[in-house]
Amino acid sequence: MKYQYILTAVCCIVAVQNLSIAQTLTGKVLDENGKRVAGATLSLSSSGATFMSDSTGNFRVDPRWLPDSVAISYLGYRTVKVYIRSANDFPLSVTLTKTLDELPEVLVSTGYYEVPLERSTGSFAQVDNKLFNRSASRDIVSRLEGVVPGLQFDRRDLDERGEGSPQLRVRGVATIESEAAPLIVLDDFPYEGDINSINPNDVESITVLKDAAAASIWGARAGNGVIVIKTKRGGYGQKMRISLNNNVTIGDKPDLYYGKDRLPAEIVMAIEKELFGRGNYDEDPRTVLPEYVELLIRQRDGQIDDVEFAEWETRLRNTDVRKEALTHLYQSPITRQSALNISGGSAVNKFYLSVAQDSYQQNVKQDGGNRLNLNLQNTFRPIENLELTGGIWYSKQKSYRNGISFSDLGPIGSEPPSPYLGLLNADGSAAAIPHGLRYPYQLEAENDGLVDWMYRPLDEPALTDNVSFSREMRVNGKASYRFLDLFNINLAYQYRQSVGGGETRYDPESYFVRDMVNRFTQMDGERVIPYGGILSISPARTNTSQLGRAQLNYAQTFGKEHQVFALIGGEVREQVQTAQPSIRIYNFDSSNLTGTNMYDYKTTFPTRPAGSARIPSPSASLSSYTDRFLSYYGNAAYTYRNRYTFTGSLRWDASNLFGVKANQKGVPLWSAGLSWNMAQEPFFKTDAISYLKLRLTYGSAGNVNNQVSSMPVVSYTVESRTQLPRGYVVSAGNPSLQWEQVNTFNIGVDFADRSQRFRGTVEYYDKQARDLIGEDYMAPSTGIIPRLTQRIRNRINYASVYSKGADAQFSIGVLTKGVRWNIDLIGGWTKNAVTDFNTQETASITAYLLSPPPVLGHSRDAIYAYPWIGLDHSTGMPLVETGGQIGMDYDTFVKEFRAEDLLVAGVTMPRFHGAFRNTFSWRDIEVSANVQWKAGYVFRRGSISPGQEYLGPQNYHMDYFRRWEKPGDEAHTDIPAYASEPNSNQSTVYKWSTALVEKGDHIRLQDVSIGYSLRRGVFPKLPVEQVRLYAYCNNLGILWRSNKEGIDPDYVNVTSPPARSYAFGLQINF
Amino acid sequence: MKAITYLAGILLLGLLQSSCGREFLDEKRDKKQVTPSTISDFQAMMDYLSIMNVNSCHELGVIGADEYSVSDDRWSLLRDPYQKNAYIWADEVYEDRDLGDWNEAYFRILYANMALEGLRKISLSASENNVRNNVMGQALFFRAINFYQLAQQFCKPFDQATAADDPGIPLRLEQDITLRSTRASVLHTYQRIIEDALEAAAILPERPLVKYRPSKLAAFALLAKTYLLMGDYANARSYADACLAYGSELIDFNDVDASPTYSFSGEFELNPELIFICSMRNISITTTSRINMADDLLALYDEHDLRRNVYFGLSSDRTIFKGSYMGNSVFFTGLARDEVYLIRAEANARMGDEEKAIADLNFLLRHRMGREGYRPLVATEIDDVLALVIEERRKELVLRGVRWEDLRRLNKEPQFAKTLTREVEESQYSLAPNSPKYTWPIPDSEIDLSKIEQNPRK
Repeated sequence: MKYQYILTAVCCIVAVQNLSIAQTLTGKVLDENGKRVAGATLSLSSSGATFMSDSTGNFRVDPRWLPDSVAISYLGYRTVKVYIRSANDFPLSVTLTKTLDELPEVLVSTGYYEVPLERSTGSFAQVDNKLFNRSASRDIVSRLEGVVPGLQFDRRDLDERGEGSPQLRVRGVATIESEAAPLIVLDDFPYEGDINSINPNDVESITVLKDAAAASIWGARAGNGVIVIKTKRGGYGQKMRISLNNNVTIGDKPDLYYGKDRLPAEIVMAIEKELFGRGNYDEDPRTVLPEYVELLIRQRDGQIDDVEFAEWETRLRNTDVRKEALTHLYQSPITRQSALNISGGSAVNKFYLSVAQDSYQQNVKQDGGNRLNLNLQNTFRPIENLELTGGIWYSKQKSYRNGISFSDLGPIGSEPPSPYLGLLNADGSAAAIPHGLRYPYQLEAENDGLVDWMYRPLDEPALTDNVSFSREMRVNGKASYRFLDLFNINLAYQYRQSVGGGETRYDPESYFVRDMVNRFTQMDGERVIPYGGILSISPARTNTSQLGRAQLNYAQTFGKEHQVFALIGGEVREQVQTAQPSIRIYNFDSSNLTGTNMYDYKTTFPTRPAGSARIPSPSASLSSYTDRFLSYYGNAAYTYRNRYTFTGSLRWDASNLFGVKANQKGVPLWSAGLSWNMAQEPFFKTDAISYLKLRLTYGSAGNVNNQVSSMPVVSYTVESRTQLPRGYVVSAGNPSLQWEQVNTFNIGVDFADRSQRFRGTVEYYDKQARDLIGEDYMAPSTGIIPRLTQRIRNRINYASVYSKGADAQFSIGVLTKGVRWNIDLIGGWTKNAVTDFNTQETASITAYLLSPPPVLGHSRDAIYAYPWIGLDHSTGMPLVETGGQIGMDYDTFVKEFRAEDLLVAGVTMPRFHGAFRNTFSWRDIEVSANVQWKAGYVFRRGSISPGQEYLGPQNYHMDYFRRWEKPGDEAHTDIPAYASEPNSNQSTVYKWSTALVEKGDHIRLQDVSIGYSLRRGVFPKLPVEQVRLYAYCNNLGILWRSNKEGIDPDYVNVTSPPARSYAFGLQINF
Repeated sequence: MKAITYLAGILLLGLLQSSCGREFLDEKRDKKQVTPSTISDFQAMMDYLSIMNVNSCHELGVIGADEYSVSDDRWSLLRDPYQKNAYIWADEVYEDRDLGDWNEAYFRILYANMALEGLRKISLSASENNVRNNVMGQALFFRAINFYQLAQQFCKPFDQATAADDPGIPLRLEQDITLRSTRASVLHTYQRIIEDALEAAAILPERPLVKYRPSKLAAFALLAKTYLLMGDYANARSYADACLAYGSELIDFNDVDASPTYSFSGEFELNPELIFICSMRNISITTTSRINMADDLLALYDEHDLRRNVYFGLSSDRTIFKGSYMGNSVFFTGLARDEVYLIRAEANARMGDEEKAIADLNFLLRHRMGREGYRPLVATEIDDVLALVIEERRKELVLRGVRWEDLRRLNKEPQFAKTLTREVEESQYSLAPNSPKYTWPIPDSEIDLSKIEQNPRK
């Protein structure tokens, strides 16, 4: 908290200091028709000041800057250069003429240098500020989906609640066991922090580096592609701009009926009644029985009469736990964001300052959080040619999670709740539900001298206080000095530290405390655990990184035909991650902060209802990781006659990851590229096309695996039986380990027609990832045994993966007069295959089905399944082939089935993806909608298994109602009939067969954004420069899907897919 | 100004080059991980008891011996093919699966080899030499006992006449994992066990810090066991003597409360008999829900024998085993003093010193029989002292992995030879004395990858 005040104070002082701009001279910018041009860029060549014309086309010049020549440029207009001698030249008016045959110059940044797209050879995809701000999400990453060709979002590993971040994939996969995420570069520095801590309002643009020529400068970490985030800056001589952005996003409640792994109350009660009749329920205090079964037991034991029983039964039948949960546990998620940023500059300095505050509530009541961001950047030019920049970023995130979600209502562990569970008693108080232990046993607790043992979900949120937080601070400084007009030397340093942790305070009345107290209450009534609050502090994690860099740039033009640009540099980086042990305090009183941790953690106490246990003790586990990198790099580009560009880069990396030998060696990674601006050739005489560039690049990038070592490595823990330190061998060591290497070939063409209405890029790539680190199998007598628990793996560089694909991007201006209509199309195709890998031959079929190992010749994303023949005509049971006979001998079939006979049922990542974005604008209104398409992939859905609904609620599935019931049904269903005796192999051959593998192809309307701007140019009375009103609707729904099951192929295993959300916002520029 | 900038640039690049060079990159990544190089690193490896002291290589022998049976329905529900197949001594045992007995033993042998190589590289002062010797002795002992255990499952029983030609086990003696495995002879295998155990005995302390760690006593006991198997009774007796010279105490079963689920306590320091702790997993086939102790074994105990109730309990209609020295369902397969007494008794009996043999038996039985019912044996009243000792071994060392070893070696003596039989799902299976099936096949993955010779089943 203290930091914030200090920071705010510093920000204000610096800002005020910059507000004073001396008396100025005014000029104006006009177009061919004499209309004033707002937003034209003016840059003074010797002072370097850059500023823009305001909304009335006026610009101001400080007389101290003169004499100087000024270049005035504006998108779609020819740049004009004017020499201004003195103040006498004012008032000045400059007229710009429209150009149709020149592309606006786009600069792309790699983090080490900026290059005009025109003179690049590599594959860059840029998301500019406008596109980035189409979305109103709190985070950065989600704004990239569906706008960058070749960037895929992998959501296969999201948890049941749909939480967790999607994995990003740039152009397929290039590794097996190592890090697969692209490198994130924030303001020229690699960023290892939490990307969700960045304030999106600070982001200027994002560039994705896709091929070797673009990414290889990042060397050993560029193998998975690089995402470069550039934040906003002020400009020299720029008038102060203040921008205020406020929005609120409201979402729908989750769709709890999305998941089909459920059955309605009536069916479940019938099943439970039958099982009860069969004597299937073990009436033991440790076994939680469903409410209806408890009711049946009470009826059997004569505790309730038939009338009362019937009443209860009806009440259960008419209760729907999902409805209850939606009413009492869920709410509309709401996110509020506000951000203020101020930027500006004078002749000798420029600054950018921003403050942002977000808060949100989740769709689960009592879950939510907030974020605060502060950012201050200041650049001085104390003398000509020397520029000093300093910046401070601070972010603080806090989230609290006290709510009860649907999955918390289950009786135990991950078991789903009974469908007829009610959350309120008839009198409106919070109801107790069967949870943890058997309900009647818990009811008896108070009679046995224990404390209340009932679990009442609706009471719990008020009784726990679970908070997690993270704070991050980045400080950096840069010095840049230009000399001899050709060279520029840059020194940069960044320090970053993030701290994260959390704590949970349990009230004495919380179920957590009461349950623990009761379990440890001894037979004589002694309480081993005091009946008081518990404070549990999770381990604080600290991540500190430092980076230093020195770089020399050189740029020279020889005559009119030769342009040379080159740089060399060195970089040193360290990252230290530490974790402190957790703390647990019993008998905690939050009102006066007292508690104790002095307990007997060694004695095993008898516990209730059975067994014995030690008092749960906080862990004493600490960790500390240090990653160090040392790199040298260079890059050069030569352009001849603005037509031919040759580029090359070289990078050498070493790290402490691999141990001595490889460190000394390091690995040089390089790239080479060539581009040909064909439209500039004299022979190129087509009028229709004004821009045509061919690009060809090849080069290598690396990838890091920090889990391997060249030396034998032992990891320490403490042996609980002897309390002696014990060490286990993590790695037997491999002296010849090195980086994984990804060689990428890229060929692309960029084009535009003369009217600039039709522009596009098409690229083809071919990636050979080799020397991938993978496990190699050895004879077990060597001691290298893959399947032991404390195994030693023999990891060596030997595997390879091949990916290829194509990316395309088109922009079409359909209408340009009055209503403007623009279509943006992106598309990508990608496929991959493992080309060298030793899969353990004895790998079980289960492994192939659950998490497929890499298999030679197959895609990394392959999904395996048993062959499916169909259902038997007379019994409705799955048919299998055994010994050449089609029948129903499941046990033999499963026993004899070999892993290599499993079918590859497809791949689980889309081979094709695309997006189709339409933007309409009329005057100051703009509407845009993005439609996304994914195809060429499959997913596995759930279903029932014959008779398995009698084995437990985790087997419930709505396919129950669509199963085979009479001969002939097999013609239109693959869902097997009921079996009175469930057989696990019978279930296996259906559940893991191709019958349940569905095509994932679908088209969705991702979002719609609507914006309206009021500008002072149009409304002269407007007290501010501009007011923009906008609305953004996200997750609008699937327009078409291949599967007939109503499943969203991006969210297969979640309880509910992301709900629709509506954002409304207001942005004011002063 | 220019000069300053140049200077700064040069300085920084210089810094990157020199001070940030080798030392900068030599920082280890994970503080918890070390490249094992100190004595305490290797001690920590030897102290990893859930690797070094558990899952001993005894499963196949326990499954195949005549100490228990399982009913058809329990047998048919077994998931692991090796358990099902080993129980009926089938030709094909593993069905391509991995085998814990083999894998875990060689895993420990790699640990031992890493420790041995690392320790030899350390140069140290004389005072530290004792500490090093202790760890080195532990590593040698671990290697020896694992070779010993492997030899009982995967080599023919030791026979002086053919030992030099019978294939033994791969003797991995170096940590280099790239070396190809080849099978040594049985003779070499036993020579190596003895060599390692002797070296260990010379440098290990008498009293280990905890009984999970090998000691001088453990090495002597292992030598006595090994010589007994080799038929070298003089050496077996002298190492049993050496072991017992450091302590003779046994548990008195009169003081053991047989009423809990498991008769013995898990507090190992309370059990004076224990020399070295090591255990075998309680595998599915021998869990209390399946196992039924053999009637011919149970019939051996007389009415005063406390072991009948300390070792065995009832679970519905089956007699189950509850007498593991581990104090739980896991089988004790380590070294204990009762076995050493029995080794000495047998060696004495075989060498004609029946008085001494009976003295050891009496000492043991005094601790095993009810105080009222105990009558000391008198050597002159007994026809066959050796047969009595052999029978006592079977009664005493139940489910300790020893029975399989005894069956293998005693089958050569017609007096003790026994044909084992099983009846499963109306089929009869038998294991004849000296059958090649007393040598288990080597796991398929080993044969595939190192191409060593397989053991014949017929």
